[in-house]
Amino acid sequence: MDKFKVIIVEDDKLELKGTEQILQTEVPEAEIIGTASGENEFWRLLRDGVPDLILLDLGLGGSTTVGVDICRQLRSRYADLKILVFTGEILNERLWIDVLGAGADGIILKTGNLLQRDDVMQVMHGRHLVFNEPFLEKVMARFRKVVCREQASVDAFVEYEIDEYDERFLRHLALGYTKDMIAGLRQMPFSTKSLEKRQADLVNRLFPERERSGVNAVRLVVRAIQLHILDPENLVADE
Amino acid sequence: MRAQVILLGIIALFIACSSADVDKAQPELDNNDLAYRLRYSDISASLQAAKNAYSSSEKNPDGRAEALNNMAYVAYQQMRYDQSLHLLQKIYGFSRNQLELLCADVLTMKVMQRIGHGKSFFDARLRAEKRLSRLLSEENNLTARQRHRLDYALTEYHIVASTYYYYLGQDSAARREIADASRYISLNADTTQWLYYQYMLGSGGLVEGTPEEVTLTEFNHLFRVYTMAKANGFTYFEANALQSLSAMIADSLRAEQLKQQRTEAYIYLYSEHLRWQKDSTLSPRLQFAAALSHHSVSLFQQYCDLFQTACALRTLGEVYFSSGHYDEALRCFNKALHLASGHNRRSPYSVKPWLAGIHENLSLTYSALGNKPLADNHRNTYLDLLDDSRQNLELGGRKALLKQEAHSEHIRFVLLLVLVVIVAILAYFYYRQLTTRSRSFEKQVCEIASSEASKTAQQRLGNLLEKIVEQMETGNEECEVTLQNLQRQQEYHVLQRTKLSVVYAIIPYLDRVIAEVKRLDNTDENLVGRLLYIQELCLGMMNVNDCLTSWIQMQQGSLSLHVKRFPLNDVLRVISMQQYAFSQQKLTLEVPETELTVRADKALTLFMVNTLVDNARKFTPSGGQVSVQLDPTDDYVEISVCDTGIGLSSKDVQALCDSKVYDPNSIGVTDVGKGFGFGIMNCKGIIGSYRKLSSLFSVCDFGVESEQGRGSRFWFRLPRVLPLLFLLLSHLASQAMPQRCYELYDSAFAANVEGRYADAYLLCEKALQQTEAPVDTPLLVSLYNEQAIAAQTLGDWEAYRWSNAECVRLHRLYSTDGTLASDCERLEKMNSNSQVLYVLMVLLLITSLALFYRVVLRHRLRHHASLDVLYQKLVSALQTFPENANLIEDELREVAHSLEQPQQKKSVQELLQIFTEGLERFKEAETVIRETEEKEQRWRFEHDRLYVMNQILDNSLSTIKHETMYFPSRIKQMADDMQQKGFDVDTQRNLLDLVTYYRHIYMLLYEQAQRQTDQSPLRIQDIALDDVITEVRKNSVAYNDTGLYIKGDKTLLRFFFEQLMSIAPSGVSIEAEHRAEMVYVICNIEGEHLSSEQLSGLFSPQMGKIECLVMRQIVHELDAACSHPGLRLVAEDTEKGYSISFSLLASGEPKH
Repeated sequence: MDKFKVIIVEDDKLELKGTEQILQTEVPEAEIIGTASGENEFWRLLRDGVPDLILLDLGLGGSTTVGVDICRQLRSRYADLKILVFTGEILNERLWIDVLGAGADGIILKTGNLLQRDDVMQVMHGRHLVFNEPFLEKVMARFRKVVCREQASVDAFVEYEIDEYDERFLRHLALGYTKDMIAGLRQMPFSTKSLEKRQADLVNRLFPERERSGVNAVRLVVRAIQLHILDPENLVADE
Repeated sequence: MRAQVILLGIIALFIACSSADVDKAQPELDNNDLAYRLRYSDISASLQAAKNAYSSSEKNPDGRAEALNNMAYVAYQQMRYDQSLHLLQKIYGFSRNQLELLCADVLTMKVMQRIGHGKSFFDARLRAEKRLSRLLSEENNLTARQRHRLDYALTEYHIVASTYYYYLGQDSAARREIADASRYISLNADTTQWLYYQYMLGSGGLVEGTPEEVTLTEFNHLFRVYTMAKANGFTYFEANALQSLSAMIADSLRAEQLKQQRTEAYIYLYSEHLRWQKDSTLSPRLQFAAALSHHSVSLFQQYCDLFQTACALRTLGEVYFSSGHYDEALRCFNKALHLASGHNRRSPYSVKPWLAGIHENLSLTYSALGNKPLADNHRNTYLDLLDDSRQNLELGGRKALLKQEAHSEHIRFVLLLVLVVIVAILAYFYYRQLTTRSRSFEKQVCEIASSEASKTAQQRLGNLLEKIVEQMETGNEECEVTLQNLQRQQEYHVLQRTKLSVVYAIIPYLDRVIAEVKRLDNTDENLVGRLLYIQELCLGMMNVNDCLTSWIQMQQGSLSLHVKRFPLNDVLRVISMQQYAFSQQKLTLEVPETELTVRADKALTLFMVNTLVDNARKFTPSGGQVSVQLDPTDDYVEISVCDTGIGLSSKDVQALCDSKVYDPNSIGVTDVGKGFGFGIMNCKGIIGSYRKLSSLFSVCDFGVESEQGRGSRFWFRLPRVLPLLFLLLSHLASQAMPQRCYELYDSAFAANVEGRYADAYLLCEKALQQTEAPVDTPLLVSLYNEQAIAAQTLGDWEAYRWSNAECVRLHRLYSTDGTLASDCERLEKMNSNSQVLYVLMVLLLITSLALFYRVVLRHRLRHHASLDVLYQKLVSALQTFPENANLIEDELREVAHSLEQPQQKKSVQELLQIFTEGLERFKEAETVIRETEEKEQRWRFEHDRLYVMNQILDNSLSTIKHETMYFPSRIKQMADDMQQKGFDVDTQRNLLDLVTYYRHIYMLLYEQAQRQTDQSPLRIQDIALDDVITEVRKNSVAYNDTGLYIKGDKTLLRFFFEQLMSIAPSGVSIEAEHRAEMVYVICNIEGEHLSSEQLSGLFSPQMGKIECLVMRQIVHELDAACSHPGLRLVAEDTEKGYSISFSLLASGEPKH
């Protein structure tokens, strides 16, 4: 690959030194045309020449999230500029979304595996959403959780023999409908009496024997949510 | 039925009377007459005559009955009561002679009176009454002899009754009876009964008048008895008269009076008894009295009357006692006791008051002789005997009262008739008056508005309002204090979070070190460069560590544990509130109640117990049990949480107990069970803090015992405090009154036992003075008894008599007899016939009154009554005002409603308004107070939560500092070595291991601390920037109000400005401007110049400027809370110094 120009924006001198070393030893194509430790210094530097890649620390000095703002401004001015954001914010996941929303091409977490040649090269080859390993691990963990929940829902339908009427009944109970109201729904061809029977039947299916006494509608619905039969984020009433 | 019985009685009487006229019965009658006449002069001759009469009257049942009566009388005089009753029973068995049966009844009464059987006395009296009423209706048909016999029976009947009432203490009844007796007595007809009557009057208590009159009258009677008895040879009455005269003369006052006013009789008696005067050591008067007694004793002995001999001996003894001849007195009393106890041994019936009297005398005499044990002994016997005889006496007394009532019933009946007429007249006038009264009453009712009670109530209402306003203010002040404490904790928590961010700042360096170490290679051209970089990174880490260390050291001592004494139950009560959560998991939680008090930090103790209980809940399968147990010793209380859960392996237990740092995630048996260790580590940390605080807490300890699969026991020890002394005292004070009396009694008793009689006497007096409030009678009896004992031993006879009299009086008052009710019922039944008529009359009266009421009075009365009730209620409501604050409005409203005249209504309504408004204000104030209290409670809760977190964070940070700070220098050392000695794979490996281990342990401790940070969101509000700056501004701050509003957390912003001001001691000028959606604040700090390096690193941990780090943390948190990334905090160089500028999210003016 051809050489490309890089500006590093980093307020911590030791970290800057480390990053510079990585680029020098592992990414010989990269030419560091300048470094900045603060916002004002960076904008001044940019006036001298626009690089191909900017390695931007999220926090500079006392402004711990200024990187988001800088990124947004850069993106609005230079559409082709590659931006890779460094952050130590391992817990604040919402910031990652903000950073990507502001137009960053990738996020490199400062902890764990540091900047790798691959990360830089992928960005330079035009890939978006480039993350280093610990970040990917976290994303994967989240993803796994969502998938597992969906799978658990499918399994629960099978295991507890839930049919569409059971699901509809439980969903509307969760939405605060009374049995009379549910019996009045178009897709529920049941009387109130038989809904009561269905509820008792559901209690028997969803609860082990020793826990069945005293279960009311609220407890039943909560159990259905715990067993992933109902998705609390997707509670919508039928027309 | 009743008529038949009466008819039969009359026929029997008729037969009895007619048979008495038969000539052949004459010899028996003579013997009976003889027996009767001799009964007071020669008892054995009388008995012989009676026996003769009995044996010769086989065919004459009436004579036989009379003979038996005479024999029974002799037996009575000789104290053979069982024999006497047996003989009388015989009469009842065969005789139909109503006269003799009456005599038998009267004699039975006499026996029962003597042996103190009140109930039987009364039965006999009822029988006698019935017979009397029959006999008196046939009075005209009686022969002279029968008439004589009837008179005898009647006099005897009344005299016995009089004696009975006399001993019961009912003097008026006794006098009435003796007056009744006088009607049937004449000297000529029956000398003995006349003598008996005269003697009764003379023997005391039955004559009314001034003491002088009484003395004279009694003396006259006695002298008459003496002379007449002596002349006619009635030894019994002669002796009795002498005994009473002796007692009279033993009294110096009475003797003196007699000497002067009855000189002749006195001299006569004196000269008569010169030869009886034996003891020359006595004064002449007492010699005389003693002579009379001596004579009396000898006459009674001659007459063979045991009872009276003993009585006379007592009188003689009392004479000696009053003269101080205690030995002589003792001899007399002992003789009397000997006689009495001799009788008691022989007879099944004992005469208790008689014995009691002798024992009392003995007790006194022994006491006077200084023989305390014997004196006490006799006194105890005396009290026991009194106790025995009391109930019977009392029963009889009550019955007499009931009978009296029955007598007065017919008088009531007549009165009732009169009443009916009067009522009719009154009713008319009443109605007329009622209307006028009603009007004036209304006037009176409305005067309540201006009455004293109303004014006082209004005053109280005013006071109440004043007080509640004061309470409100105090509440507000307390609330303010709590808020300030909470803010301090919030601020401290910001500091803690800042520290954590500093801790976290090391991790990127560490990762870089790891990356660099991994890249070390022999072939690496840049080996030296890498090693140098590693060393630089180590120095960076050491800088951060230094910053943290200095910070932690700086704060040591600035915040300490809140140690105080508190009841452990306060904590346990909170823990027991988790019962529901436990029952949801089918677990049982047992929390004991306790009185124990410990010295510790309350919030932290709660945290510890809670942590342990929570752990136990998590790791105990359903059906199990978790219990909190307390094991107190003198020095500490061991609090343990036991469960029947999955338990821990011995390795885990060892890790928990021994190692300072361990991986909490590795503790536990199953995957679910992991993570046990965080809470335990914190608990251990807290116990460690206690121990560091003071040697007082050297007993503090923490431990774990566990067995896999069987359960665990986690325990810790806190120093125990004994309950406060004042609590004990206040408890005692609450029971002060009766307790104090009992205490005094106990002291008096002890003093008597120990021989401090003067003390005992005074203690009793003190106790008696204090017993104004109702105190139980037994205590009073005991107090008087102890006082009597003390007085007796001290020889103060006056005081003794008074105390003893009170003691005896109360003794009789105390306790009631259960059989009384049934007896009363029986008596009432007897009166029921007359009552039927009585009731009918009353019913008639009531019915006519009811009609009158129904037709005429009802309406008026009802109105009046309801108004009256309302008025009374209102008055009492006003008087007791704040107690029934809710009632008063209702009462006033109802009164206003009930009044008929509008003018009067108005004044009450005005009063109503005052109270309504006042109470309204009161209720409003109460609501405010309640809300303030709730607010305060909430803040206190938040404060406690933060406080615990801060304390634990302190511990965690301290652990991080201690456990990890030497790693960077070691790593640096190894890098140095490698630089000097050249690359070596083993060294690289060691270095990598060390750094990896360092990172592992560091992350572990960081995560543990991280858990203790407050996850609750900040309180983002619209705030006036001017307000925040004004609150924290000092003189050195220049700021012009801008009127700008920002979004933020007030506490954090204030803390931010405080930090800002503390880094600019020489002054700061603040400007603010609104641009786009942000407010930019520029703080110019003059007089201090910073290099560009310092300025760019001002907010970095490397620089170690704590205030700046806190400011950075605050901006960072506001940034996250406002969901607006990109807030700035920048330091820049200026001409005169440097500036710190920052941006905040602007907001509009808050709507409220």
